Amino acid sequence: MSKPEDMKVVKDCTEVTGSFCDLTNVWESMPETYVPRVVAFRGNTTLVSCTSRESIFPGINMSLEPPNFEIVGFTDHIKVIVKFPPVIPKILRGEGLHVYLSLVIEEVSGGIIKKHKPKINAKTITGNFTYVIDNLIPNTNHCVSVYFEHSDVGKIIESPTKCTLLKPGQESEFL
Amino acid sequence: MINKHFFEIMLVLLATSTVFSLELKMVLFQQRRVNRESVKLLNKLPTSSMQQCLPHRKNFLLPQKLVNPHQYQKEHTLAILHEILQQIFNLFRTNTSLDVWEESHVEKFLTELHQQLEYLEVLMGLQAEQKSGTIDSENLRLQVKMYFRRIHDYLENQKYSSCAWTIVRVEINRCLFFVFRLTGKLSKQEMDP
Repeated sequence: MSKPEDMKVVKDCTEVTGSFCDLTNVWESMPETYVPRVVAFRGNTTLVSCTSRESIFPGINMSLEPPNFEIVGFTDHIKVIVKFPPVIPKILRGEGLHVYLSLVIEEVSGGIIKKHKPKINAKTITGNFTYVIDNLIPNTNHCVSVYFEHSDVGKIIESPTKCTLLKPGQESEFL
Repeated sequence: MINKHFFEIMLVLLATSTVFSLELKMVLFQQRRVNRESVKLLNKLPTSSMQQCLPHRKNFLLPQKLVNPHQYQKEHTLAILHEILQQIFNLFRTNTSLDVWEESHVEKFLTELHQQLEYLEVLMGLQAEQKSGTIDSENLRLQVKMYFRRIHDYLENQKYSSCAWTIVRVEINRCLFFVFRLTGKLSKQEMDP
């Protein structure tokens, strides 16, 4: 919407026979406003042309689903292994990621919530990423959830919580 | 021989820096809140169907330096943030915007902006005690003013139509996004001076 350019055909969304098409990698710029249009043809005849009433503004409309993660409990610390997908959407590559989003690892124990915000960049967000929550109280139950937090606006989608009881005698070879 | 006023001067400078730092933290906290509320309010405003407004699109040539805030220093960042918010305030304060949108929504938006402008002015006053204004800041402010002049001219040429306001709303959303970045830059500089 910021420039009076012609509408562009999405290459992977032509001659669609299903009920949807994924436009994730069409959005390129966070502050841009996009207007999708669906056109249906029969032969050379245009049957339907629908422009979305609501525009897409990734800066506020975008919310990332949380990554998968595993936790391993030791005597006084928990290793959190965050599993990012192998490919991230185009719009998040480069500075988009650490400027607009931060990863939050939330740890809850005894009703007290602690938030950890490890620094992420384009390299850490593909593949596995390990974070250690240390100085925890042994013999207590700790629960962890992981999610992306948008810098200012946008909804947070929290992950399911995973819990572990820290037992004595569980030592990590990494610490 | 140390000037007898040396320690007094040092004390005032240190106090000003501390006050500035505390004020900056508060202003940044408020700015984040204003950013969220502004975007929500702006997107509550009813707009014409996007389809019919597509032919009215215009490139307002948002200054490139705004897009890349790492190119300039902290004192410039505050000045630019203030100028952008002031210009957005002026834009929506025009009576011609009220015909298109509900008065209460516009007033709430303006109140949020006005409050934040006051906080920023206090901060800029404190900053002025540490350093004098620079030509670079003024040049950047001028670019922002010219950008908003283009927006005002567009609205006037389009006779403040509903579609024209829709296009402007989209542009202000872009602008607010760069306000987020400027706020983020200030926050980072505050944490890692």
